[in-house]
Amino acid sequence: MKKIIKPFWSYDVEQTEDWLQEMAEQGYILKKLHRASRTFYFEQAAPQNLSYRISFDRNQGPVLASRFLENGWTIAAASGKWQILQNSKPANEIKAAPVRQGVITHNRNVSFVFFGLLFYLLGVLLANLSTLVSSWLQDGTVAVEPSPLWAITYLFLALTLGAIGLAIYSIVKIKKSNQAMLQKESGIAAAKWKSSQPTLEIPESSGRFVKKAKLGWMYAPDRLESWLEKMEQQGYQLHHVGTIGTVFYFVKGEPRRMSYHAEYMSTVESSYFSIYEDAGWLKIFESWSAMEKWVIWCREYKEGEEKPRIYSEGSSHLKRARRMAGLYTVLFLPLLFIYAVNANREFQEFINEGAALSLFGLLPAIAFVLFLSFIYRMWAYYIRLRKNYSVFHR
Amino acid sequence: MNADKVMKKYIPMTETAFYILLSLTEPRHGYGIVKHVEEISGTRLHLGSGTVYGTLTKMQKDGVITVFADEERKTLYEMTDLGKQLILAEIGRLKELHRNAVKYEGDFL
Repeated sequence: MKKIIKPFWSYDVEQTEDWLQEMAEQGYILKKLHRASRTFYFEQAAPQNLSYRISFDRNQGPVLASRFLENGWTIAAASGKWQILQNSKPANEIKAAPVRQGVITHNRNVSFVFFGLLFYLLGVLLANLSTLVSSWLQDGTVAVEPSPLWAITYLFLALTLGAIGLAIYSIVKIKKSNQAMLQKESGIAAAKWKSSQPTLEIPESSGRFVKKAKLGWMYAPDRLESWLEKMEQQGYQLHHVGTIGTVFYFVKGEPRRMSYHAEYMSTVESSYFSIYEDAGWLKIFESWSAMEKWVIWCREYKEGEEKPRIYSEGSSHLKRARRMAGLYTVLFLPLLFIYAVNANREFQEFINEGAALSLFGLLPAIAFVLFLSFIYRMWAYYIRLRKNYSVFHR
Repeated sequence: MNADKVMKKYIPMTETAFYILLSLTEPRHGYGIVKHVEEISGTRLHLGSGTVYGTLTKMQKDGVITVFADEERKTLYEMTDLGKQLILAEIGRLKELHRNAVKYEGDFL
């Protein structure tokens, strides 16, 4: 039995699969995975050509689905919700394999946990640093008390820095491998629509673009859609959207009949993109952040044709809008609370102590109103949408 | 989700859900479902991509359908045993509707 420890094997499962395959070619066949210690156990045998597939599935039982059995898959190792399947058939004879979605979603959740940890640790570190800096600014010196307990402080600092390093490594590694997996799975569809798109390579600085900034459109996506459609009718063809989604680059050309659709997705799957793209929708924008995934789709239609719609059933559209508004509300409520407390304190100081009202003191109040307006606009959007659908059905 | 809960949640079925399940006589791609539904409904139904995707995701979560990747790594949707049970129950309900529709149709003519 050969034991190999791979601490970060799950961050890039494709790499791990390749590694397992190489091991089998050298005569080491995977027998067991011990997840807690990240240890792979191998048995020595004759070298074999094996392909591996790692899957993560919440609802999977100990028995493989018949479709996978028929295609030659067997379970090489399983631990928790992870399964490592092996197959001795040549790759071109394998007609079915588990999807990547489970792994992608799981790893994304892991990276969210590391994001949380990172923010917390950086916050703690900054708070300590600012105490140090402010005491140094006040009297120009920092008195260091000799104490045997300093060892503990340094140990904690080392641990904190180590944890920050681990968090950054995990986030970057997961982001990279998730993107690669998504791209591979929707690669065929992507290649198809890329070739159908006009190859209009214009550098951003060429001056040929009509640039328009649009901030906060996420809180009223329907308004963005109708604005884009109106621009197209006037011959302003949307060429692309800036990386963070706030600047829209148009090219002046022929008026087009276009249907635009902007939507929020909490999880992104390759099947999501391929269903839309196969149906003829063109993805013109996808936000970078995995937590706030916004996608803008568009599709041209001819005169006399019905305007293409992404939702044929109002309830599925409303459900998505409601989820988006609900999620942002939950995200913004703690901020609202903090700003309200701060604004109230500034206000009390102004009333009771006659402190001067500065712009700085007004900031919490401004932030409070701003975030409240975001929440208001999202629910207003939802209500508009609901009204639209009820009119449509009457 | 257990069978009783699934039956309660899905029956009576929306037209979209019914036709999506009905099209899964064999594993299909997402857009393959849309095309097939268009065909068997005589081009009456054009399912929107977002509606299909949302419904498929929900059904997958409830264990009514399952997914796998084909040799081109594209996702195929497939019926589960629970899904078969569900569509049969709904077909039974629709048969009753149809029987009664035919039986009493004449009274309104």
